[in-house]
Amino acid sequence: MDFRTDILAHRDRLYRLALSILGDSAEAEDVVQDVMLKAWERREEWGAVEKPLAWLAQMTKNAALDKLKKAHHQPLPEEGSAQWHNPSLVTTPHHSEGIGLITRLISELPPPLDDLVRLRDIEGFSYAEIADKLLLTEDQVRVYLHRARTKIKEKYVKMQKYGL
Amino acid sequence: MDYKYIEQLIDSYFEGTTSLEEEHILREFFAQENVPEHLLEWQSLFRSEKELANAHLDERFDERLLSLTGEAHVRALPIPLRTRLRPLLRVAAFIAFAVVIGTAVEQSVSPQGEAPANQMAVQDELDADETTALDIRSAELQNDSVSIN
Repeated sequence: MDFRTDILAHRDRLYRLALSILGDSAEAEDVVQDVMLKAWERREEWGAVEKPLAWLAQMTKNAALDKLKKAHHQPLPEEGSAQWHNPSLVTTPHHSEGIGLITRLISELPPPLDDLVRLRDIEGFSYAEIADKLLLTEDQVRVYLHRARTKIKEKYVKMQKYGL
Repeated sequence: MDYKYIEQLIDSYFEGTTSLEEEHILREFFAQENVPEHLLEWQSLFRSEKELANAHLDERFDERLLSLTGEAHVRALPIPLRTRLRPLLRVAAFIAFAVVIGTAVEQSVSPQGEAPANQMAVQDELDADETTALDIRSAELQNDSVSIN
């Protein structure tokens, strides 16, 4: 395995994965950087890694979910602090509204439907490729995709109509 | 303009039966500005998907990572052929030196070493011949002296 061809080459896919979870470009970039540095530190294990992208994607997903969890547990601004007087100073994701929409819709899907939509609608993989990556049959992929998009449609229509 | 084809594609999309190419057509259709009003409700969804699908990091990210891992320096210094072959050249030089020394030692030892056995044999032969000749000559001289007396 080589750092440039087997790790750095996947930067955009990992970035989009992190972005689809966090909805924030700067946070997503930090996650990908941390994951790649961790992969570099663990270079003695590279010989045992059969699928570098799957290995890196799992690390990225875990790191992004950890970051999201920590962000949800951030304490409220202290009374009298600058943030308390001006809530807009509290750190908020600085992604565009467009990415925020699909990020939110995907984040509300249960596994493995979330990963399935990421692989199909964001990365453009075929049913066969998705089946291979998620250890499913192609028929299962079709059924799950139908289920995922039905949920996305319901949620999207509610958001459009009621702003939910 | 008839948008039946697009409407069918939208239905197929939510049923999960569209091909990758058909999904691409939908995203390109909604990326344009002149989307008919009755289809506008789906525009944000397909634009959002397209925006995320096109998100990427730039070269500065690579440079930062390579500098943090030190890979940039390793890659920036190509190893010249002479340096790569240096160990091999050292071994070759040692072998050549050993051969030269070995040959020189062999040549300097040979004249007093193996050769004497042969040379001594020849010398013995010559000595033996000389003795015989002397004996014959001595006998001849003795005969001559008897005949004189």
